[in-house]
Amino acid sequence: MNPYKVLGVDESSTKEEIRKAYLDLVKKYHPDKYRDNPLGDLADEKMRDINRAYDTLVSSGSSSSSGRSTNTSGSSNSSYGNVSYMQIRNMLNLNQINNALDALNSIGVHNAEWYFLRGVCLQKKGMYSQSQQMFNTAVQMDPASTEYRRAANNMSSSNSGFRAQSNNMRPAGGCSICDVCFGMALLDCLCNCC
Amino acid sequence: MFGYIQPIKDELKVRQHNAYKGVYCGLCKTMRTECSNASRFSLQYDIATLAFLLCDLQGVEIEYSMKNCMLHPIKRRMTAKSNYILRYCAHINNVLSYNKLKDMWQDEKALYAPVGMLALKKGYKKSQRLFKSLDEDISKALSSLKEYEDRDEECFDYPALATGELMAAIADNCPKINEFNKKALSNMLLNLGIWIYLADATEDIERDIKKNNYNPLLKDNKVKEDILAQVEQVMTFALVQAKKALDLLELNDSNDLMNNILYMALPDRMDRIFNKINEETANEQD
Repeated sequence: MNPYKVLGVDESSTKEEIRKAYLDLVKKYHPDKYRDNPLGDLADEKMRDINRAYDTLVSSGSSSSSGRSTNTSGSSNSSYGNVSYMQIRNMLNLNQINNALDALNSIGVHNAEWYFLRGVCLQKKGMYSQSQQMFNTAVQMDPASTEYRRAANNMSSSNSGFRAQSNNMRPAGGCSICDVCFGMALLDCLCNCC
Repeated sequence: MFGYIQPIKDELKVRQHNAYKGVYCGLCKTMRTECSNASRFSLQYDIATLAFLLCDLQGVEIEYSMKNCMLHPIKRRMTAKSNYILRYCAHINNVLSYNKLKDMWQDEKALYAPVGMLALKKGYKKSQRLFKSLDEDISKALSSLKEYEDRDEECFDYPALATGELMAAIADNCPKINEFNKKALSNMLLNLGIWIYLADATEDIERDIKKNNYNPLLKDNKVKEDILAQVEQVMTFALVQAKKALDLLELNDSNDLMNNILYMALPDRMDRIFNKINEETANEQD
């Protein structure tokens, strides 16, 4: 595997350029970004390649593959002490979504953690309106948990980031899209005439 | 069902636009040899987008030549030469069109449907034979959609996901695709399918009220309260997730095209759909 190709840099790049490319890629494939998504393992694989490539190129000493943080989030649920919830979290980390859903269905009493985990399952499956409801319920039941709150706000915060980028790229800016389209259509007609 | 997944062409480079159009022409020619002459009229630009993306992803170099055809008999156009991806995409188009006509016949008893089905039948049999599991997956997704419709499913997630699964089947059954790309592409198409279903459902609100059709955004023939904001949120989130999947695919030529679609074409379409419906509801209140 060509490390330059993995990092998307020229062979003549300076160390600084390589580092910048590396940091950009780490941001792009960071495990946190793929937490709400079933492709976390693929992003991990990409990160491994990127880290390996960076280490090869900067092998002069301290291999600073700092971007890695493993996806096992176990810290926040210790207060529940419920083994089966731990197991369900592990299933989710391994992307066994249907198994996790089955396990959740077998639990009779539904606390905030139950709603949160069900929300994660549904989100990974692509049932976004239901997962949002689950996260909202989890927050209502346990407003103190930052993990639940983050999950509940995730959709609107990712959306506004996406929207901002999309508005930046789109030519129309603030004015009505229809006007622009109409203008373009008129211009097109005129151009065809001559 | 389709018509959404195409770029804003003004934002493409001339070179990219020509290449994309060449794939469309190539697909049309492929449909004649692979399926039937009649099937060419059902070709959608979305399938050309898919073909362009899949060729890039699979490292299939597209060869172009200048050709004319029955629609453009005088001016020769850049046309992609057929390859295994174009053949696969021709069959996808064929399976989807045939099933759409079948659906129309069952739902609305539209008289042109059996005529179209008859014209596509021979090609469809070939698609079934060559891509059996694709046809099965698509039929399965369509029958879940039908089931949700029959039971008047209230939550729009279910039919949206079924449409997503229909789209994902395209990645799952693509020949020679590796596991990594299959998984990422499948998820991207799943999210695009969710988006497409909701765009369709929102655009059809007025018609569905008039005809008393099933639409998960309606209850007692009225738009559900707060549902439009929810739909808009879910549609944007589907694009966010599709972009994450796209980031995992190693693309060259089609990367700009896909970013154009995800960041520009689809948000544009969404804005138009929601502006229109919000205006309508405002007018009703006046």
